[in-house]
Amino acid sequence: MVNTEGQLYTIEGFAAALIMLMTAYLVVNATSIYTPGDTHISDMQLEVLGSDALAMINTAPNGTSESPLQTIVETNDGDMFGQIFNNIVNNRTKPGQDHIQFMANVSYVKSDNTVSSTTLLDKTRSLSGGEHAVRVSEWVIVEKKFPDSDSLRKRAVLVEVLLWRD
Amino acid sequence: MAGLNDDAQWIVLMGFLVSFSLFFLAMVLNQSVVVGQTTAEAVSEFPKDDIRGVRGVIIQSAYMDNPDRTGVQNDIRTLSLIRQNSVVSFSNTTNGAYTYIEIHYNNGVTVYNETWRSP
Amino acid sequence: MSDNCGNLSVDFLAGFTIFIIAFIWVATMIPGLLIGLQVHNIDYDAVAYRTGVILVEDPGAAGKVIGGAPCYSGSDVSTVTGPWESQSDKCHIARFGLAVSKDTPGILDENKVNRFFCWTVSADPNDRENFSYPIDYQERAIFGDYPYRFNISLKVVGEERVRSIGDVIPEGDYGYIRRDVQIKGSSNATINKTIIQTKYWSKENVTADVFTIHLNCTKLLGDIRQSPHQVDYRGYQIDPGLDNIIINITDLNTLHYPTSKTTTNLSGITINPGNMPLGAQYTYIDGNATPVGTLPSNVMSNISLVFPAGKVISDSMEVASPQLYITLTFKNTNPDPTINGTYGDWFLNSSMSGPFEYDYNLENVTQPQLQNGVLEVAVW
Repeated sequence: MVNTEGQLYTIEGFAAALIMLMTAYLVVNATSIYTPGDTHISDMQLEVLGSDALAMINTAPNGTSESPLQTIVETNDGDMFGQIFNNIVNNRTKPGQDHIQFMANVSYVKSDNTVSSTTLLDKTRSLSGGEHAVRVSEWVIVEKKFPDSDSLRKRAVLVEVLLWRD
Repeated sequence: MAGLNDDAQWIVLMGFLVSFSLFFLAMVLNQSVVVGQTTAEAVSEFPKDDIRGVRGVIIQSAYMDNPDRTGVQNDIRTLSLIRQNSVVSFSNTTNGAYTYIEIHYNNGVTVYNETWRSP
Repeated sequence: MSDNCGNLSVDFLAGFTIFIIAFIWVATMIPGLLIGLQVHNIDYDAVAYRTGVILVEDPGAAGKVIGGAPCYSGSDVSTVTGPWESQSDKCHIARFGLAVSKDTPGILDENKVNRFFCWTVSADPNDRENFSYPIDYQERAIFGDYPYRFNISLKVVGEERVRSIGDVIPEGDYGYIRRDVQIKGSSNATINKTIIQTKYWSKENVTADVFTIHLNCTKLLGDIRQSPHQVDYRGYQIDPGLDNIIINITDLNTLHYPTSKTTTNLSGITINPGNMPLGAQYTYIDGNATPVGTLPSNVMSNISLVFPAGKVISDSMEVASPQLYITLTFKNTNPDPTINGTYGDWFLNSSMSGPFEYDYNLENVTQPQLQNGVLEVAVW
């Protein structure tokens, strides 16, 4: 009375169910939802902040004087730069300061048409591996003679600041 | 093989169909998560401040006198190429009361062209 | 003989049932994956960044809000003129933006900042001037289909107060951007004893002493556009059509000579061309907080003329002109018996020396100051 003839559909149905369940299990295990606070967003926020701060330092206080950044580059006053930049970039609307570290250098063109940099401000704190740093730059026109360049003349230089969050 | 009854193949095929669509869904979900990241990447990649900065010094240099002007303009081209990986070319003409400066900027991803007229 | 063979075999039913049960179970489990993926969550930082850019780098626009509710009848949007911060009806403001101009990103205009931060929570349909949180800001600065909640705060360095719009920032997940800005203030001229006695002090035998202030609009708009400010001149410019103009005249009680008088009679203020009498709504005498009601009036020591944004041009003249002369007339009420009964004593008078120039000369006019500030936008 009992024979094996009727097992065809059952076995196929079973196999299909098994396949679906295995796939569902794999899918649920594999997709992980990243939190939005990933590195690109915090890099963007830091870059915007750094650009704003540099632009502010490069704005003259009135129509006739030169900008503070011009004076700083011409006199190579790294400490003044550090002070001003630190105040601007770590300012918040809530009380208390933010913790952003930075270092700055100035890139210029030498007489043989290659590019070289001098340090404007050494790092405010050592940069350890694994920290994301962003670079922002600002163009300034200064009248200055650099060590290995030809003469005192008006030149365009690039002030570059590397920023990272503590 | 002639004796095998393959009437029920369609059940297994339906099972496969469902599992393939699950895989597809998983891939779509995987890609959609990076929407927020990609926006931030796009913001960082667009050289807004670079273009503004270069444009500002180019316009200033057009108003300089000649021994300074060639030096500054050469500096701009060299520094742009070496430090900002972008090619800039510019030239200016004076037509009556106005000065026109043509600016071209290209950093490989973004191209910016402008003809600036003095106010 | 009954035949108990059906169309479907039991085997088929069994197999099909197992398949269907598994399918239903998987189908109800998968949507659970999508719950963790809320679209708006991912957007917060992007929306905050965009709002930051719109506020800090864009000068804003007057006009009709795109896609907003129709303006109430009687308000004609097609003839809107002037900058957005001077629109009395908020329906005529298309987009907020605090920058002075599109060529000065990061420099904010104080009139725009003051107008932007006037908000209320209740949406009173009769209040056409104050903005209501959140709907008015969502339509003009935040944008997007989803009703984001937000908080925008501005703090000026050196000031204690923090101006802010919106809800308190929640503990959890929110998008955030911080921008460093500079706020352009207004220029002002303080004409004190030193300046007056150097140039504008004379002994005239006249019944009324006249003091004129000259605003050469062509020069004011044009002089600043020189190198190196051809692009960002708007951050340093004194524009009588858009900015506040403030003139303070002080030490008047010390100027009379030889006999000192404690009060002087200010009989009138006019604006030329047009010889329009200046309404007393912009004149403040002796440090009073309210403008003087009518002229003539007695002045002891100071007069302040405070013209809010652009009013020196828009309100005061029939005919727009590039040269503005503001004339103050001081009447000599009593002849001075010690000087042969004549009117000839020393006082503030610009007829001989020429008018006081309100321009970019640092000795005469305090130029617009740029104050540092921080703007933070949080969106959730």
